Amino acid sequence: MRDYRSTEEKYIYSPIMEEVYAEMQKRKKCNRTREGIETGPEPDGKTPFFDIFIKHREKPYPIKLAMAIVESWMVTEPVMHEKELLVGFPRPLRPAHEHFHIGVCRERHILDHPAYIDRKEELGALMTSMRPEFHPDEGQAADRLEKEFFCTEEFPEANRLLWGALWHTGGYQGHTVPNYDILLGKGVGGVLKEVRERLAHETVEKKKLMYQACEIILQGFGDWINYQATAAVKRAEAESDPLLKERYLKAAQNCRDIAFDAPKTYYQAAQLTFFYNLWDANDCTGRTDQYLYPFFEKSLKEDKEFTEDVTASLIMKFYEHGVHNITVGGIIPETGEDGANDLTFLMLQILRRNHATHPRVSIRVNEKSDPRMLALAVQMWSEGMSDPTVASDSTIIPAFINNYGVDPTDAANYTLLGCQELEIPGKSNFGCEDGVFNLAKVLEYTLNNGKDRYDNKATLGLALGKITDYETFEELWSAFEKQLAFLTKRFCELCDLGQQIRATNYAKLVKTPFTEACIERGLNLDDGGALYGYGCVETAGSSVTADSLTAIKTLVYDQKLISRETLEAALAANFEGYEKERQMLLNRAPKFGNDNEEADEMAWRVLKLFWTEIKKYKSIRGGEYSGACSLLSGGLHYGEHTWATADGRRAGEPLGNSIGPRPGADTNGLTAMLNSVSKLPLDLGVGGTTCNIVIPTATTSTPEMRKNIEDVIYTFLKNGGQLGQITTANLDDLIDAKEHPELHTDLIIRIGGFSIKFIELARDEQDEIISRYSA
Amino acid sequence: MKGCIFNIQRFSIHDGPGIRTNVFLKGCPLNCIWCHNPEGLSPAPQIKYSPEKCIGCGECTKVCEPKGHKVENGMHTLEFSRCIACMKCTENCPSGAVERDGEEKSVEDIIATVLRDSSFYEKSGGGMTLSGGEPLYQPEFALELLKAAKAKGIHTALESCGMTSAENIKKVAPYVDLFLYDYKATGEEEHKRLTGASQRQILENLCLLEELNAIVILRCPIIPDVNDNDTHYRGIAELANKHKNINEINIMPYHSLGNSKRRKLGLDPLYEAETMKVSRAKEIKEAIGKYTGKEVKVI
Repeated sequence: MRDYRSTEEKYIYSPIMEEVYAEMQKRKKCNRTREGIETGPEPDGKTPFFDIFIKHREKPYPIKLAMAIVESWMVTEPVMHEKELLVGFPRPLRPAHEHFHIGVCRERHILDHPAYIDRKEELGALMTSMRPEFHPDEGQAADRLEKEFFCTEEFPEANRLLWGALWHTGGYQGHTVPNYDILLGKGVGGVLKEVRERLAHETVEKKKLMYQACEIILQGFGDWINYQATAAVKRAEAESDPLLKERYLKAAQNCRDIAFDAPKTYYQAAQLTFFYNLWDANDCTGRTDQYLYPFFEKSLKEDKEFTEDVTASLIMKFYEHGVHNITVGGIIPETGEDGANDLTFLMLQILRRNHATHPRVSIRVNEKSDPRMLALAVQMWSEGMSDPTVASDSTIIPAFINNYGVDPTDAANYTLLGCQELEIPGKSNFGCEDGVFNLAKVLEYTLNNGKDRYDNKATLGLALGKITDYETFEELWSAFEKQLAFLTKRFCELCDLGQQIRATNYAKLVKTPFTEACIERGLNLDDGGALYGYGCVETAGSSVTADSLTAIKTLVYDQKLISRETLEAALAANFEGYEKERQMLLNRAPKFGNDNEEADEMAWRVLKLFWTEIKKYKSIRGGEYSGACSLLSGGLHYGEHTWATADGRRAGEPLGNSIGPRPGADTNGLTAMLNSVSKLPLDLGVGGTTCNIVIPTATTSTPEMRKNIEDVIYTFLKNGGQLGQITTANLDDLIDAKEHPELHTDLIIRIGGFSIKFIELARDEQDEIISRYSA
Repeated sequence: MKGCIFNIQRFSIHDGPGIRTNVFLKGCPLNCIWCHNPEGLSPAPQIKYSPEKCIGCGECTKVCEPKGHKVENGMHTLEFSRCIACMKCTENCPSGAVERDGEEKSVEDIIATVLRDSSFYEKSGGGMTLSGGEPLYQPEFALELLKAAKAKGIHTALESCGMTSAENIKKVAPYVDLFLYDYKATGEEEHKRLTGASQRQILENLCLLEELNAIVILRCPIIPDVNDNDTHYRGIAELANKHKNINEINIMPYHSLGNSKRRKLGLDPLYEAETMKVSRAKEIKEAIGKYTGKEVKVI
């Protein structure tokens, strides 16, 4: 490719890479449950975790865990696929393996696989009996959970009512980006040396254990990398093509060279990066275009074609391995200049060429960014991708510095990770995410004397009264504040419990030596080892809550068009028999997302209140809780468990869409919606707040139109927007929207002289639009 | 100063350069049979009724003095001929089925809304577009809006059918950065038949704009079986070739949504056809392109 920064030109794989990618797609199959995208070998019947934990029963847990992780890799046959540049393939799924959210994860379903079916009973029994050994803190924490929180005799059902309805804590956590600068700068051996030095002088038993576990991991990792050379040697021996033979031998030598030493070439750096991701099951690779760039730059000058192949290989391996999030572009902390470089653009071009769902990519945009980066992003959206996500440096960096005490240099180095979260790579553990909290449920309790409307027996919140008891709006607001404060405290305590489990279980043991301050402090990553330990709380239902409060204020208290008694009756009845009132709530009060001061201010108040409240509490890792709002399907899930709300939403209907307005509530155009979002207190939302933006494909069909989209997004980010995720809707979406309007509430079409929500058109009108785009 | 508008549409990207806010003024001297914005025809506020939004609650009947609204057995009917535009029903309707179409608004209020997106204009070279209706049907109001926008350094576009006095054109031209000028039919008789008015003034005003060195984009609605023919294609091209200040031709393919809006306003359709396909619009673009060197775009 001549110009990586061009939107006209497209990246084309070299013939070998083309073949490699095709093969990779053929062997891609799902063997993991989470997103169904990871690939690995067939199960092999081995049980390294059971073997180690039984054989070394007397040894302390972290030692057994470290040994089991090493063993699980060493009993796995090294793999190098034909014609590939990078060695390595995931482990097969086995009955037990380490996992970043719990420590050791058990996979009961794998016992039904032919490789294990003969030992199903025996292994099944082991799985049960070894539970306390695999999860040293789980029982203890679960006990506390039960005693201290919900399942009292009075309310045996309370747990069910809260979990997944009001909140979710301590569950799925663990995305965090390691320090690739340490990995690539010191090499495995360099880090091992430091650990050994610390261990030699350490006297505290717990810290000694931590160092010993890290030592086992690092020694094992280096040995394993060395061992991987055998796969490349095997390929070389069987190969007759001299070019490929030479490549395989080089790959083998790379393994030997980087087993303990720092990489010297781009090829080696890419190989070590990939080995690390495999070993750590790491799915977020941070600012990949930055830490690899010094290697890349040198390599590009020497051999452009090979450098491109290495880059393509790495992206492919990320794809095969199910990598979630790559971040490119953004300020260079040391210079303050923008860091987008040739590697940034090459990676984007390769991802554009692949047009796959993984790995996801995000671009960091600032005033100094090369405009061609955002232009390329718009081009990718116009081609039907929802990548890249865009992130605003000018919004995010000051927020980290001013509100969370992050060093300015570190703040400038932030990365995206997980779905759409933020952190300081290699220096933090913000528990992505510590929990999810549904504000709409808090309002439900506030209007219903602390009770859940799905089950009026249990008082789950504070019994402060019902809507009928609040004489003024400020009384209601004050009750909402009290309710929120009460539940937030409990919520944060629950989050702490989840962290306690992970800390005791050494859940992120592999990442520990590769995260700044863990070795210095002698603490594992979940035990407060990382330099920054703030927490991240996903916020559900913020726009529904704000719009409900606005509607109550407007129609009940200010205009007195609906009495408090009628509102109570209407809500209790889920609006059955109260359609007139529901319509008034929907149509006669302003809604967040329309650049309306009143509605937007309420949304600001609600988020400010909650995010200030959680910031009062510190995670056991050491930092305060921060707000996030990037729920992708969470708005649907929490909506299912949230009763009718005073914005006119019926029970069970979806809540908002990440940080944006509730689906269908914004009717004033994209710029108005973006202005509303920019007004929110996003400086407290450093966990990551995504604004989902849907634009019709036709709106991106000409260069002028694409430039307009580029300008809209740029202005949003400059004006205080934080994260944006853009999707384009095409003809198929229009057809689908006709059948499933609830899924396409944000689809706006432009025809002739006006824009309109597609789903608001009558069916025959929809057909007219569809016919226009049909061939 | 106040004027009557029926919509302020933000994030408009088809009516002039960059990201724009369109202000739709009410009132139009023409009556094109295909009119796609029929709510702009009448200069006065009126009511719009969307039956699919009606819940049959009868709130409108409680306030309608001339008894235009009726609800029988949960079925709502509306006799538009009785409406005195008191707007009480629109204030009482909970679901937005009966809505006010058209509102008296001050220049200051409108400009305040327009300014909310100024940062978007800045980056994209966008601004405010006056549309309608025919904006120059309220010439003083349009002039004040344009002046106010220019005073704030905002790019202005005026979408006009050209059916106004030369005086009005002269007055607004200094405050308009771009004219989006309609050309609807080739031939005087044809024009009268389709729009109800003579084309003479329109063509004269176009000459006037050339004298004034105003930048013009020619906007041409193409209506199946009406002006979708080679004579008109040639007419469009020739007109664009004749005026050196016309630098672009926009094809606006017919869509039938104007008729559903007419029904909501109690107006019967004057013309019916299927929405034109994108592929057909592209053919027309090619056909016109043969007769002119100027750029032709489908909008």
